Amino acid sequence: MRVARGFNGVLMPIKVENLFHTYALKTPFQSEAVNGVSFEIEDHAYVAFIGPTGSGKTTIIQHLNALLKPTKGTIVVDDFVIDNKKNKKIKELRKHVGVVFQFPEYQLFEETVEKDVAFGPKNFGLKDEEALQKAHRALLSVGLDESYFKRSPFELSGGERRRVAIAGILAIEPDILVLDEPTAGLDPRGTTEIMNLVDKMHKNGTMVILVSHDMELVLKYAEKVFVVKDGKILFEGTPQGAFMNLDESSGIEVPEIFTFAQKLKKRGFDIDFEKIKNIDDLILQISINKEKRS
Amino acid sequence: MNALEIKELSFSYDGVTNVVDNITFSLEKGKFVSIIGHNGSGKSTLAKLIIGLLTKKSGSIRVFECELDEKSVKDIRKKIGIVFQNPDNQFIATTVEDDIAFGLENNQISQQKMVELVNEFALKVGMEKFMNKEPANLSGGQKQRVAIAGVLAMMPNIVIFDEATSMLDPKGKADIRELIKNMRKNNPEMTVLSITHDIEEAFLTDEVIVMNEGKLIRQGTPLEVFADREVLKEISLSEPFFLELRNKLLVEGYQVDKCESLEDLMEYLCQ
Repeated sequence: MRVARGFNGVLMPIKVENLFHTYALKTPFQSEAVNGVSFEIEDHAYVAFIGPTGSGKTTIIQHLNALLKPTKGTIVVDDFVIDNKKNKKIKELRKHVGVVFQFPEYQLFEETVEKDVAFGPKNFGLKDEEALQKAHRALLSVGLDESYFKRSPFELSGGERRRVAIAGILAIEPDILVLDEPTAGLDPRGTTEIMNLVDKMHKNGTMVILVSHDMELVLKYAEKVFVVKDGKILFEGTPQGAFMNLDESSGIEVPEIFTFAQKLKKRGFDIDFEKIKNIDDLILQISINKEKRS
Repeated sequence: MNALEIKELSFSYDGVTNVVDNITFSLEKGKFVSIIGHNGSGKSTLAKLIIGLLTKKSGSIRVFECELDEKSVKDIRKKIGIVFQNPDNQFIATTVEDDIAFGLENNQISQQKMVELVNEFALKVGMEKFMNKEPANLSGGQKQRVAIAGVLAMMPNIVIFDEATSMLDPKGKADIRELIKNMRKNNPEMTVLSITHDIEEAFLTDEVIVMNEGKLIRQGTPLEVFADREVLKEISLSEPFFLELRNKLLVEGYQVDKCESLEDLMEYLCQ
């Protein structure tokens, strides 16, 4: 467990104020992706950014490790300030904030799996041996055993490559982990493995910021969601709150578990929606109602 | 007529393990077929073999009765369009319009016809307002729609979608599903092969092929294949929500074994 931190003694390691981002400013391709977004994220939180394709979710989170710089506004992550001026200490920032991009497996390049994963720690100044140690630990944590260490990433399957890429970020041991659609294209088994791993990291104190279209995962894991549409934050609250308060125009597809619970409610069941995160919770709510009735 | 005939096909990256292992099947022209299986089951490798991006170890691949080899690969590729999982690897031009046109430019058609086709397919995938945008500045899902438009505009005889909708949001997925449906209505001879994990998506196709560890373990209609829970378990694909809920309710002692849909379950619970 890492030490609680934050600026001015407040445990709010991420503070984004009035963020605007315009791509290809002053060219014919100019397009506004983020239009004045402000939010804070608490230490150790597990939050999700949800919303339709093209809503600006990815653009927002790419500011958190200064991959993108704001057109206007500021981002504060711990003691680091990211604005549209020249920023110092970006390398230092990226040790804290690990971002797993969409389809990270396409960015693998080394000849062996262990070298690829060790690249990050080495880049941050660790000696070869230490970096390899961290790489091995990260690989084991994503479920890739020793037999994978010396193989070429290019002969692995898509799901295995995804895990190698995620291990590459874990090896840096960031205390803020940002994942952009980490399960897109993975089969259910791969999805469960990755999400269990992320959950474990969260329980060990890592802040998790997830971007996902998979509302079942969001319901299951996220403590809080930010619903993004047209570059603005439309809603901020629990996933359950989002599912109850938003209509179709938000582009959010309510999970079947939740729809079923809503129908039960209409039929006179007393449902505590905030308690429903998975199918077992739903069945518990049903049982409570049934017991009351009999 | 068969659009595709695969016979005893094997492939190995390392010369030891067969990633595609002695696979035989054929696709009838005009069919919409899905291949399901978990990551590493050999699905994508199979697609790459069919378009000649990888060379087989043994067996044969015939496309419209023409054997795929070094000589025929160029002609065969004209008949097959493929949309990959990651749209970023599929862009060439600086605007959406030019990107959709790129494949057509190689096909020797008139300028006027080309503009018509580009506009038509941009509209079909809902990207008509983005014609002058730079593909790099689009979202993942938008990029994928442009890639799909570019492939479909060339009117290939066989279209392969390799997890092509996995980056799209639910609405984007539904849009592409609708698009494929319309394409097949307009051109009943088009054969579609969809590689997917999405059970709902596979359920809508004519035929399902199940792969596991490089082998073809089942081929049949969606109903035939999905009714077999053991198959789903074997390839670790999850049950549909209805079956999962019913089974868990059964375990809790609810007598829901006769329920055949979510509506039935609802009626039972509300008694």
